[in-house]
Amino acid sequence: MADWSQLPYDLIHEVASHLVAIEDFHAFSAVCCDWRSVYSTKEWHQRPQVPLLMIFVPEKNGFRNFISLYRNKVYKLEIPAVRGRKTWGSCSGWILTLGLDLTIQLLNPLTRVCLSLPPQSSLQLRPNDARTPYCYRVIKRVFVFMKQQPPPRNDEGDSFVVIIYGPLYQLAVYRPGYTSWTIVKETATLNQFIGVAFRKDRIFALCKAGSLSVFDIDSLAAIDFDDPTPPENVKFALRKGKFNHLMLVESRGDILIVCKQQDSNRCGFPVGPVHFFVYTLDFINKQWVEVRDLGNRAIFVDKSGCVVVCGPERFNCRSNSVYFVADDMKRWLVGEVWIDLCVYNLADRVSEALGFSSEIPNDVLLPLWIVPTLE
Amino acid sequence: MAAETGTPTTLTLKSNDDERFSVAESAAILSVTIRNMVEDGCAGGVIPLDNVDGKTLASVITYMNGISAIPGVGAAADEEKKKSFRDKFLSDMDFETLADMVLAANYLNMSCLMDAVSAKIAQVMENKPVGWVRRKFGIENDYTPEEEAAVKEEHKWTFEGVETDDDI
Repeated sequence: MADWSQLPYDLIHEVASHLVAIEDFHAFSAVCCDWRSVYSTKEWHQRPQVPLLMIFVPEKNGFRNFISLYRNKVYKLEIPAVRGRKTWGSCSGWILTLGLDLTIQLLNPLTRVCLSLPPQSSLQLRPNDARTPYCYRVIKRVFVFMKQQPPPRNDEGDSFVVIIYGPLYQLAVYRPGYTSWTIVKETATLNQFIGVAFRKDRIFALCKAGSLSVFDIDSLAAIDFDDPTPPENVKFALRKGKFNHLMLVESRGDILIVCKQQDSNRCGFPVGPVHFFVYTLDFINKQWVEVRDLGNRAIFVDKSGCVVVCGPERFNCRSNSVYFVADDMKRWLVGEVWIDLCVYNLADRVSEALGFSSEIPNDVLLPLWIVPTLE
Repeated sequence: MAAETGTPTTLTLKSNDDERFSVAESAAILSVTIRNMVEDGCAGGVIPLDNVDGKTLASVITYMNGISAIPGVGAAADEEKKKSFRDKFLSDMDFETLADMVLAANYLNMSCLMDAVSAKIAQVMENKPVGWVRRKFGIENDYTPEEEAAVKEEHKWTFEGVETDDDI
């Protein structure tokens, strides 16, 4: 009869280091005092995680539902730090929040860690009057990146935040230690940015005209870059002004554009099936190449951008697929806003609803993907 | 010494409950512990393995023979075959034996077996509630109620709405 409780600490560590999902690490750490000791004292290599989908609960302010595809369950959590604050997703473990007083915080809704960032006033926009409704719409998109992948445990020092803000859709950067947002000066003609990715110490930014600008992360200086022509589907979305259908993202050293395609009716509401196209940047030939097979990767899309995860099967998710949130148009007409979590297969170009249909308060507070972290 | 004569050498391995097994040296030296003992001059005699019982040693030897029968190191096709062999070997094993196997692999210093058995054990606890893991592994909950509450509070979201003793 095996006596598992007699296993030495090193072997417990060896076994647990094969766990992948954060939820399993947490369960492991709660089994008994010995296992908890191993969890607290040993080093762990955090693998890329499939994110949880955070949904606003209409009847309970300050609460959020988190859908875990891995465990096929929904967690309901109270997040006091979001009450009364406007929120933006960043396709990472963090959300940015803006208070009525225009203070900015970075919040991890799962671990409750809350960091203060420089206030919006440091963006030096005019007018700065806190009374105008416009000041709550200054920030357009938020991105949080790690300089080093995988990130060392407990180290926020290597994270930085990039925002797209203002009427000109400019870029500003925050790194730990900054007392104000640093505006990225664009030397070329006024580019209005719609998406940002980070690769090998360089910020890549996609603008409304379809071109790519590249900046060095340390100096924030623009780097000369031979611009590839955007693919047809991307050009089409840009012409129609569907900027939130385009997402720039880095994955395993590749720079990808994820392009959502859906028809609209005469009133501008989305109708018909959703399709996704993925393009990768060929750095040598300076062109975008369509990716017809993502291989062992899945993409998770929300209104703020997307997350690419390798090895999704370990999390009970499908490869070569795009997970997205669909709006249920029929119910909008009766004043209810319903969403459903769906998965799109890039091989057969078909979507499937996953049975997590939810009502949300309005069409502004759309669900966000949150990546869990070890601490 | 085998190198001089060119004929394959057989070793005798003795478990802690006095069972003896004959194994080809080429298979046995998959264990770094055994390889070190041979280099220290145990060849020709009997190699005592004080931390492994006969039943477990028999399994380990099946593993050693199976893996060493697959030729080549580094060639992709051979790696595939080794992986298939490992998967089949472990799938035939019941859960209780895995504990003995991981301890034996550790004592005998066999990293590929250790890796495979650890992964298999981790697989058992994946996507399971805490209470289930405790029952399966026969581990007693030695937290005080206050300690347990503190642990759940630290990673609150994973335990939200779940009693740690829940079954699936």
